[in-house]
Amino acid sequence: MMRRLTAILLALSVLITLSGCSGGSVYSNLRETEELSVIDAIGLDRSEDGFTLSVASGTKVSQSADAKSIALARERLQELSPREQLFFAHTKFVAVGEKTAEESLTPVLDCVERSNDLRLNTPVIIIADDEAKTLLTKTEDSVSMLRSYERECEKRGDCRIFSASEIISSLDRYGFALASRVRLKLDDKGKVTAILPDGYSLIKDSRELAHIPSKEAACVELITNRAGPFFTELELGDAKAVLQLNESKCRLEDGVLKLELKASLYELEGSAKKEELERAYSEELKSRIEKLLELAERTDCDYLKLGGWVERLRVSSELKYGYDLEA
Amino acid sequence: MLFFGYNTNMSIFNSNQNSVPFHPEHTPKYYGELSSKTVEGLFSDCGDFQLRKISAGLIPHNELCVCWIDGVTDGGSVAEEILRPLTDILRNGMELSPERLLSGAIYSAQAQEADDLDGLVSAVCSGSCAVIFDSLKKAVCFEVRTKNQRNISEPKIEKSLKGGKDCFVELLRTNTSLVRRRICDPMLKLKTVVLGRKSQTRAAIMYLDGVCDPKLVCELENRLNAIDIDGVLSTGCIEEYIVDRPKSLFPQILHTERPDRFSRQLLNGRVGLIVDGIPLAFMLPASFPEFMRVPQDESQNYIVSGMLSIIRWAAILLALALPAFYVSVSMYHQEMIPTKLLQSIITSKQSVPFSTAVEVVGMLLAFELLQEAGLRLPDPVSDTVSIIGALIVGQSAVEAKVISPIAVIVVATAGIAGYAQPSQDLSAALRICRLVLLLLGIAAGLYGVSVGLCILTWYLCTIDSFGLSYTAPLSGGGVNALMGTFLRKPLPSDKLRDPELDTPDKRRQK
Repeated sequence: MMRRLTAILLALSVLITLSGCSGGSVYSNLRETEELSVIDAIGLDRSEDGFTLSVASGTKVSQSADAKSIALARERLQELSPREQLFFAHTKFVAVGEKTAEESLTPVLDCVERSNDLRLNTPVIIIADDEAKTLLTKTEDSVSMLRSYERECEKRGDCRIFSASEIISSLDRYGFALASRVRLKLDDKGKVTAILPDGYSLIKDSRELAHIPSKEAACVELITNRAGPFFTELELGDAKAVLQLNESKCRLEDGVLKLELKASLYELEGSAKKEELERAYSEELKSRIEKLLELAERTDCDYLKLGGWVERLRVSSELKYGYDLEA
Repeated sequence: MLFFGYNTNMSIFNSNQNSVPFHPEHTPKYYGELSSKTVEGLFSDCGDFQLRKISAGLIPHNELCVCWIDGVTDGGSVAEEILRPLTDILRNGMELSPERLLSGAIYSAQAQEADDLDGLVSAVCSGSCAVIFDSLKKAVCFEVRTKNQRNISEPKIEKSLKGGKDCFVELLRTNTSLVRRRICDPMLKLKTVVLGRKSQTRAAIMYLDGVCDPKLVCELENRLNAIDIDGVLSTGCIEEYIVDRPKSLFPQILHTERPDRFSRQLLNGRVGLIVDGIPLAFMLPASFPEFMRVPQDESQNYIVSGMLSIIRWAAILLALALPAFYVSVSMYHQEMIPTKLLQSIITSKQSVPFSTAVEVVGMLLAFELLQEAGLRLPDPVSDTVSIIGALIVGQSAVEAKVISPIAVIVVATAGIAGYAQPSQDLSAALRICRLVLLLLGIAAGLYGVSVGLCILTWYLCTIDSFGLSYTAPLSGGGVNALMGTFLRKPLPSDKLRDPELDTPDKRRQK
């Protein structure tokens, strides 16, 4: 009886200590729910000292702290809220200031990768010409705004939000990566009122190397066959037209990048013939793609995943319009 | 380990018992010659024992004794069916002998001769009226049992919308007749055994010859004959003596109050056992999935019954693991909770003074208390207790922020899921396992819960019920058997009996 009891007690003690679930173990997961402060978004900026870490927790007031490293900044933030334990496992977005992106993304990506709580599939967003702190501290509900922006991106299909793992694996494999970039719209009082798409940042050697504007970013999606029904504005003399992409297919044939597109007329101001619209749409997309290829050639980054030789080839796009013009 | 019944030598239970000497049952139980004087002596100080001497005045020493137990035997029937013919015979100067009585002189359907005291006492105690021939040292017993019994009523536990509306009562013969009415076949066999030294309880082993495995019947008979106790007055007196693992938490014998379910199981090839005085019938062997079936499964559309079956299986998981899962996740794995739900939990727990573990354990214990209180009280009062418990105490506790609403929701959901189980025995076993899993969850999070569930599964796999694996047909039955556990086939295409029972006759329809 005693032997069996001892065996059970030993097994239980091993079970508890090895699981990391007890309060006494080196790494303990034991946390009381009511003491948690769930962090929805974090922002990282370079500061004079080192880093500024900003956090936003729902509609609660956001906080930020400066320190020499991100880990120290996190500890300082924790000191600012002694009653609650900052809980980063539910972080939905990581925002990075442009200055940080220009200097180096390595500490940010390292922080995401090595952290016990942050998830690798957390989207990373670069704030154009501003700081992440602005987004998190000067917005009433930054997470809702970011979520709404994410939904819009998915709906339009002209701009993707890359996760930390996508950026890390691309950097690791190719030496470059694309990261989503947004621009903040501020009101007179300096409060953020909207988040606007600003294309992609091309990251090379962990630094922001170039900026791909929104229009060209849509074509990145087109070439990688992930484009959604995004709009394209066209100007044909006096007439103005908006076309919506219905279907697209991109492929390589005999060294030529071929795009088959189906689009429908969404808005038309003035009058334009179908052939004119086709030609204008073709030229518009062609010019955007050429810019992308030029950038790829200039930066020596095959971010379109076409292979190094493809960028120097001629692009021909064949356009096929849908006939539901009344739509 | 006490729950799992592995300790065969539990010193706590056995220390005092060993000091009391073993007393084997004596045969015969009563010594002495069969005479009215001896019988009267045996039943001395028994107020309900009646003994009447009848003498034929003209013939000297031709005296008869008639004895019976009032209440067990119907007095009117004794007078009309036994005493009147007896006195008529004596008045007519005819000679009385046991043979004459046995050959139809007395108007009784059942008559048997008793040569010894044991037989006489047993017959008299079970409702017979004995005519004792002192000179011959013999007696003839006529069954004139009283008709006092509870009416056959609707089942209260196993209700069915479209099934039969009768249920077993306390009288053995009524119960066997309910089964016989459903299976009108001479192959329905009935073996009677007497259990209990003092209670002399009759029990009937029922089975379908040719369908049921004869070894199973033999094994049951052997196990029943091995029972040597004073009295068989409750289901436990049978169950705990004949099951393979008496100390196990899980029920190992199916029981039902419905004759139609009992008959269905006999047709499936199971053996049934009906005990006098117990308004339930036992069926064996039992397996875990069999406890999940309800009688109305066959009365409903097979798709509907399949859906309900899946819901019941899901309810098992909820009843068993929901509190443990909630505690584990909210104490150790908060990252698994959807953000909005986590925020809602945090908000609801902000002012609650207790930790999640204390909250849930306390609520579960309160739930058990409420349930126990409800069972012990008469129906109208138990309803009041439920209302007071659930509405007033629960709601007040939430409003006073003593407990969080989410803990109430979790415990209540687990409780309701427990009630969705067709077998209350299984439900009770699950309640204990739920508490153990909860403690493991508190100690080691989801890791502990997973280990607990693995141990539970392993333990269930080790149980056998009369040679049948407790997890059959889930274990080793293939995909069809697995599907058959959760879903029922349309009856016309369900041609074979349950394969795990290994019945001699495997086909139930052409």
